This record gives sequence, structure tokens and C-alpha cells, in this order.
Amino acid sequence: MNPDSRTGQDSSLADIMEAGSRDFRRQSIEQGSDLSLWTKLYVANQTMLSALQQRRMSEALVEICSNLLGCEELAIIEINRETGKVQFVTVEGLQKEKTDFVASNGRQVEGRISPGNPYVCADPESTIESELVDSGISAIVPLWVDVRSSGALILFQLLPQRSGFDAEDREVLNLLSIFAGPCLRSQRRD
Amino acid sequence: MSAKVLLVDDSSTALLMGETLFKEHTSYEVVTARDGEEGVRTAVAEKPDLILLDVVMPKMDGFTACKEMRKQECLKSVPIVMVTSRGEPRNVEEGYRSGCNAYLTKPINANELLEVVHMFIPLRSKRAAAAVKDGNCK
Repeated sequence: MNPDSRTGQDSSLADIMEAGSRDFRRQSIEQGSDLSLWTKLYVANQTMLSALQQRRMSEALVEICSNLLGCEELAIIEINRETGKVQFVTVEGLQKEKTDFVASNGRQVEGRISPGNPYVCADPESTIESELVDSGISAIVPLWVDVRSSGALILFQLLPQRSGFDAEDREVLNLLSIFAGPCLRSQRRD
Repeated sequence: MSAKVLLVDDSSTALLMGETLFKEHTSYEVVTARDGEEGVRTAVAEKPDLILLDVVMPKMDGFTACKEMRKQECLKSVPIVMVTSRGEPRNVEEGYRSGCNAYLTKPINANELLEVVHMFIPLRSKRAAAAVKDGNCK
């Protein structure tokens, strides 16, 4: 997409994300001790920014989750706030029983993300006990909440070499909770 | 002349991670390829000092690409590091059988990746760089 053809909303979102990318990149150069964190944040932000411009946000989120978080089982959903009905925007690597679980638990998912922060279950020291954890969910990232619907990115099983999300992962999840939703909404408006 | 690293991955995110790390934190030149076939062609043409190779890719997977690279005289001694989400023991074994020198699993840790690359590139420069630059590639 030519930047000049962006709508006003797209343009301001892209401007904010571009500033974020510049900052993450600068930090990744200056902050030797946190090189991995800042590089991941830069790459995640830049991947979303490119996807916003190319209208391929869902693919970008799948790539970020796979390459930066080690999760290849995920779903992006929209929950109708009035009925609790779940609509799948993207499903990647999930077996039917997991999509069925999500489809019938929209309210539970919505409840976990209503504070606006990622809900992380995959923590080796976590003592959370719930149906969501038992179903294999690792994290739920809020994407948007408005009058009509809520959006969420649900991450299931992590790759075998991962035992849970660490501090770096949580920062990436936080970044996704800030920008992924607006990027998806922007894409779906077109 | 700076060392050259070839990144072979079908994921834009993985390529961006590698390019960012090497361009910002090393003096290495970076070239990229998006699938196994292109990876072999690029390796032959560019004669890199190190190859980072994904496993699950279109057209030709990383194991096959690694074997194809090892058939080329000019790539026989080039360090190949598999960087993949497939961390199960049987995949690691298959990676080494196909001829790779090291095996890293995703998600990529920047420090770990740089350590491995720094470990191989000086070794190679001492051993074979000059010879391989003039080697025979089909």
C-alpha cells in the first residue's frame, strides 16, 4: 500500500508504530544487556506495521507467535458482547476440540481480557486452576473491546522446547495487546 | 572484507530478526532466500561464510537443502546452523545427519544466535575461507 493512500486513522496508527519501531531499534543498539528483548519488540512491531500496510495482519500475528513466542496453535476471535457468540477470524494449527472449546466459552474468554491486559496461563510457577488452563490455553491477548464486540488472540500449546512464557515473552504479548487489535480493525474496515 | 551470512527462511519475521541482529550488531553482510531451492542457489552463487537454515519451508525443506549444499564442493566446509521450531530429538538428529553443524530452536534468542554465529565464523575464516572462495560450485 502506498503510504499516501492511508486513511487518517491508518496514518496516525502507522505513525505511532513507526515511532515505536525507531525507539525499539535504538534501544536494541544501545541496551546491550537487553538485546534480545528490544530486538524482539522491534521485529514484532515492524512485522505488524508492514502487515498494516499490506493488509495481511492475521498472517503477521501467526508469524510473530510462531517465531518470537514459540506457539503454533492459535486463534483470533471476535466475541459478540450481547450474545457471547464467538466468531473465528483466524485459526492456526488447532484441533477441532480446541476450536469447539473456544466457541462455547466466549464469555469466559471475555472475562479474562476485560481488564485490558494479556492473561497468561503458561507460567511454570503459575497456580492458576481453571477450565481455560485445562483446555491447553497458554495466554489470551485482548485485541479490542467496544460496545458491540471484543476481540482476542488465544494462544494454545507452546512448542515442546518451551516450558512457559518468560519476561521477554510477556513484553511481546503486551505489545500485541496494544497494536494488534487496532491493526486488525483497520484492516477489516476496508 | 566482511563475512557473509546467508539466511534461508520462508518467514519474513525470522528474516527480519536475523537481518536486524547482523546489521546492527555485527559487520557481517547478509543475504537472504525464502525457500530451500532458492537457498541452495543463493549459497552456490554467494559462497557465504555461514548459513542459517530453517527446516519447514516450501519447495525444498531445510534437511534436503542442507544435503544439497553439502554436495557442492564450495559449500562442504561452510558452517550450516539449522534454526527451526522443530526441536524434537528426531528432528535434531535428522538435522545433524543432513550435515548441519549446529541446531537452534525457535523462538530465536538473539544472544544465543549471535554466540553461535561468532563461534563458527572465526573458525571458518582460519580454516577454509580463502579456499572456498575459489572452490568449484556446479
